[in-house]
This record gives sequence, C-alpha cells and structure tokens, in this order.
Amino acid sequence: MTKTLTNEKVFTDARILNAEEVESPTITIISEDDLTAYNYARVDDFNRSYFATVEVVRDKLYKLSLESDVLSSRADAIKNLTAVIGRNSEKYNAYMHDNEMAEFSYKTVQTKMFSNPNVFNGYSYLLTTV
Amino acid sequence: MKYLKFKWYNQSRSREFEIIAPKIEVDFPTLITQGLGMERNVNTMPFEEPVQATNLLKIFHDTYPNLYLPANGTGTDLNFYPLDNTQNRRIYFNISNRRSATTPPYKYTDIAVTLYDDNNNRVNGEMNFAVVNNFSDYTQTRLYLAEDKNGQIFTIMYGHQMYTNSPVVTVWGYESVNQIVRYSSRNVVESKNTLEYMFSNVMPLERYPINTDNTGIPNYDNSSDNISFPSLPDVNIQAFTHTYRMTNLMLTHLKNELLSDNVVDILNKWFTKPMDSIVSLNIAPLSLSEYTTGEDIQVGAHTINATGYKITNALYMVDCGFVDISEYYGNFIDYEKTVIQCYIPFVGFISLKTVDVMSARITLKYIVNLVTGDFNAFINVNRNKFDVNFNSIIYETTGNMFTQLPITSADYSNIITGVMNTITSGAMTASSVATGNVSGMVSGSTGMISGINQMLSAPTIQRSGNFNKNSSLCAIKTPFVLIERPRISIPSSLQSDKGYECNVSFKLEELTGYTEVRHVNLDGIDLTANEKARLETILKSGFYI
Repeated sequence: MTKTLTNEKVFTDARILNAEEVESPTITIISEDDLTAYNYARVDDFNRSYFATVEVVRDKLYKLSLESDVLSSRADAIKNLTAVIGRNSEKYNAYMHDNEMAEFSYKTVQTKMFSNPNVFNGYSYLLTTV
Repeated sequence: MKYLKFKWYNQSRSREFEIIAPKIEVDFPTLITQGLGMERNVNTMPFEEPVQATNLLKIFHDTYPNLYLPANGTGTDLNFYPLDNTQNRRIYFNISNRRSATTPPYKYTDIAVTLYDDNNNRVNGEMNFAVVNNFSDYTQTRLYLAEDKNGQIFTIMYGHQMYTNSPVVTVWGYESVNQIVRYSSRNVVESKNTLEYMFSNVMPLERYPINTDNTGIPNYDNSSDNISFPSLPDVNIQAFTHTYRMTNLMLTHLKNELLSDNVVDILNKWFTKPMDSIVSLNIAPLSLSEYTTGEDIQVGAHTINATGYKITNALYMVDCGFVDISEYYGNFIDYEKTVIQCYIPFVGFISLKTVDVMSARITLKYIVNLVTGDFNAFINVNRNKFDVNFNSIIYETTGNMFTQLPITSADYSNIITGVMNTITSGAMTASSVATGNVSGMVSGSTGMISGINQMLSAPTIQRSGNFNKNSSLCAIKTPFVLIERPRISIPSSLQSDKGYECNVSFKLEELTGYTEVRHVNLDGIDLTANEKARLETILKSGFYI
C-alpha cells in the first residue's frame, strides 16, 4: 500500500494532454535527464500517485502514460476503512477451511492405546451353577 | 431500519432511463453522466442538448411489460404507492431532471427531490442531487447531495425522516435553462397500477434482523448436562444361581467330584445328569483376582466337596482408562480431514466423529455380566475447548466377551432368562409399589410369574457345546484409538504471501502483511467510480499493508 520512492524528480512545467482523465492522464515532459528508468509519478493537482510508463517521443521529450495507484493515492483513507477481512498474514483463524492447503494422496495412521490397555490380558474360568 | 435502494440508469443514447426496482441497487453516476437521454460530450457541457418534453421515462420491472410514461410537461404528480401502506404512509414520486445551473459553464445538473405531505404541502427536507464536475472538465460526473456534495449516492430509505408525515416525493425537471418541466404521469392513469405493482414487489432490505419470527432468537447456550458412566446396578442377578472363579486345579477337582458316586446320587434327584447342574463354564478375559474367598460350590440345595472363588457381584466394571486425542496441525484439517476409530475389544472398530472427539479425552469403560458375558461398553468424551466444556458419554455399544466351554448338553438358557426376568420384574414391582404405579405393579407381577414358570420348565437337552464365542479368546484385547490423518502441503511462504482465512471485521490500519478484503464499503473514498471499482478489485484480490 505504501511505497518507498527514490530518485525523485520534480517537474513544474509538464503538459498534461488529457487533464480530464485523472485516472490515467498522459503527460509530456522535456527533460535533460533520462527518464526511461522511472516508473512512478505523483501529480499533486490530481491528488494522486500513478504507475508510469515512460516513452521517448524524441530527444529529451518524454511521454508519460499514467495510471492511478488507487491504493497509495488513498492509503490513509483506506487504512481507516473497516472491512470484513477474508485473509490476512497475522490475524486469522486456523480453524476455518482454507483451500490454499493441499492434501497429499497418502495418509498417516496412528494408534493410541487407552491408559489401562491390559485390562483384558488376564483370564479366569467362571463356573455358574444352579 | 428498512431501506430500499433503486438502480436508476440511462440506456446509452436513448431518451429513457430505467428504474429497476427489484435489483434494489444504486447506480446513479451512470444515469447522471448520461442524463435523460443526453449524450455526454467532453467538449461541451453535459446536458447541452435540451431535454425534450416528449422524452420517455421508461420503467422496467423484471419481466413485467415495460411501461413508457410520456414526460409531457404540465401534468401533476406521478403517484407511487409503496409497499408499506401502514400508518397512512404514501409516497408520491415524480421524476424528472433539471439543469439548475444557469450560468455557463454549467457545473451542476440537479435532480431535486422535494417532499409533500398528503395535503400537498411541501415538507422540509428537499434533497437535491447534483451532477458535479469535479475537475473543471466534463470527464467525471458524479451524483452528490447538493447540500454538502459529500458523494452520497441517492438512496431511498424507509424510516428516513424524509418519509415522515406521509410526504410526496417529487423530482423536478428542467427542459432547458430556466424552463421547468415537471415530468409527470398524472395523465397516465394506468401507470399507477403498474407502479403499485412494482413497488409491492420490492422487498425491503433489512439491515438488521427485525422480525424475530424469521430469524430466531439466539441464546448462545453451549452448556451441556453431563451424562456420566452408569453405576453398577444394585440388583441380585444370582438369586438362583452361583458363579465362581475357578482355577485349573479347581476345575479338575470339581470334575472328579461331580463324577463321584455319592454326588451323582444326590444330583440325580435334581437333574437328568449330574453335569446338568452346571449352567455354564466360561473363560472370561478378566483376571478377577479380587475374588479370592474360596467357598464350597453349591448345587441346588447341596454343597459339594469342591471349591471355587465366589463371585459376589455378577456385574463387573472394567475401566480401560483414557486416550487424549490431540490436534496435529492445529487447524481445520484436524477436524475436517482426520478419521478416528476406536477399537473396542470384543466389538471391533467403531467410528468416532472427529468433531466430537478431537482435542478431547475419551474414556472407555465396560459393565460386564459375569454370568452371561454380555457387556455394555461406554465412551465418555471430555473436552474443554472453543468455549465449550463437554463431559458426557456419547457412544455406547454392546457385545459378549466370554468363551464358552463345553461341559454338558443341557441348555439352561431358559432358566437363566427366567431368573433374569424374575429379578427384573421383581425390582419393577417393588419400584411400582414404592411409587404407586399400578400398571407397573401389574406388569411386574405378570413378569415374575412368567419368569418363575420358565424357571420351572425342564431344561432343553443339547448334545454339544457352543464354540461360537471362541473368537473372543484369541482376539486383540487392547483397546486403542486409530487416527488416520491426511498429509498436508503447506507452502512455507503461504502465511506471508497469501495469509490464512480470517473472516473478521477489522479496521485496515490494524492489519499488516498480506490482506484480502471480503466486503468493504468505499463510499467515503474520494475516487472516481472506475477507480473505486479498481480499488475494490485490488482489495478483494489481495494486497499488502
């Protein structure tokens, strides 16, 4: 949900080609630096973070195709949500059926004797008369 | 609180929209985005094209024939009679749209819902729903409560204050800027019945159980009454018989004594053959070493010069002890996939329900009839887990553990049965006398007479002994539990990469690691509809916090 971002570059003169598409805007940027290694962006005007695909249009002119990262963009609001949790790494109930666990075709057999296992080991003759 | 939600949306490029009441959902954004037949053009204003008075309001109701309501201007209200007619509650519903903003660029297109009571007086609480363009371009239109623009999706709720005082709900429409069109259906009288029908079939969603007749009243009482091992019955089975524990030497001596002349003379007065005085000779798989008092063996009214250890109580308790059945995996597999059987000597394997005995101590006891070898075996289950303390006998079986030895051809089964019936009936009679149970007294007395008659009948003579129970002599005599467990493949990274089943409501900030959401309401998240859909997909398909 929260990402660690490095090598931040700030642009103030980017041209947004389709500003109405806040979910997936396309931005052109002129940059002296090579931007092809970048893959994430933040547009404060849209209050969103984006996954970025960088395309070289021509020398020093880059086109960024963005798609909003809805998780990171609204991380705080999302963390404040109360939801029914289906699965979690730390909080779970092991007694609920879990299809992620597979069963081998073979089984193991175990025997456990009762604590007085020899009660029938003796014998005696019983005579009944009238 | 009862509430209804409606799904309204526009069929693209047609001048109509639907009310699909049975679906009871809301999808206003689509309706508003498209307007009442308006084409959205990102380069122009929404609803740029005027809504014509001839536009149709199309109402669907499942398989009911579609109904077209002419939106023809100046008619009066379209009356909806909702499901709940109690308390004089009527809801009048008139639907249209309007464009409320009068100054370009138009930022709002409202659907206003105003309320009127039965006297046609306007009720406070008008709700205006605005189509708002958030980002100055007309790419995103959403339905807001105009008052606070908080993103509320239009929802009609029974019990909401807007319905107090039997209001009329009217939605006003504007054909063009400042030109009011009230889409109404007063002229379409026949539509009223249709709409009544439609509403009458709308089942209100109930957020909480209201009608306990439909939901039951839980009491969450998990307590159990303990069903304990029976105590040995205080009855005298040997009123007319005598049972002795014998050693090999004792048996040899007895045989010689029975064949001696003086004893034969005595016994011949009572029995066809002297050996007929022996009811049974059995091998019991029990040491019975506590019986050590030697007595002369009694036959009829006589004692003979042979000794045996007298069995003073023919009902004998055998305690096999217990087995603790523990979880192996510590999860659902121990309960769902594990098979448990109990080997009960002289009975064989019986299946135990895993959910009954897992994580429990099971105790096995027998009560044996030392005259006949018949027994009852009981399994007690004691478990204190999952907030339930359970300690009761829930399994019982019967069998016979004696190996009969051939001694004589006499079959005294009738005699033994007679003895038993007599004793039982006698006890029953005594009990009935004590409690004043007349019918029990009669029944018991009849049983006693019948039993005595059987005792006095001549024994049936047989030529050979019965070896049918010989198998018990060589059978496995160790009681044990057989547990068959599956082998489970649990990837080491499953917990971190996929988590485990949870099904509990949490605030997401309380969680870490891999998380899958099963149900969540994203109404309060400021995202576009598409983004919300995408976010919901992500939350439900799994993500890391």
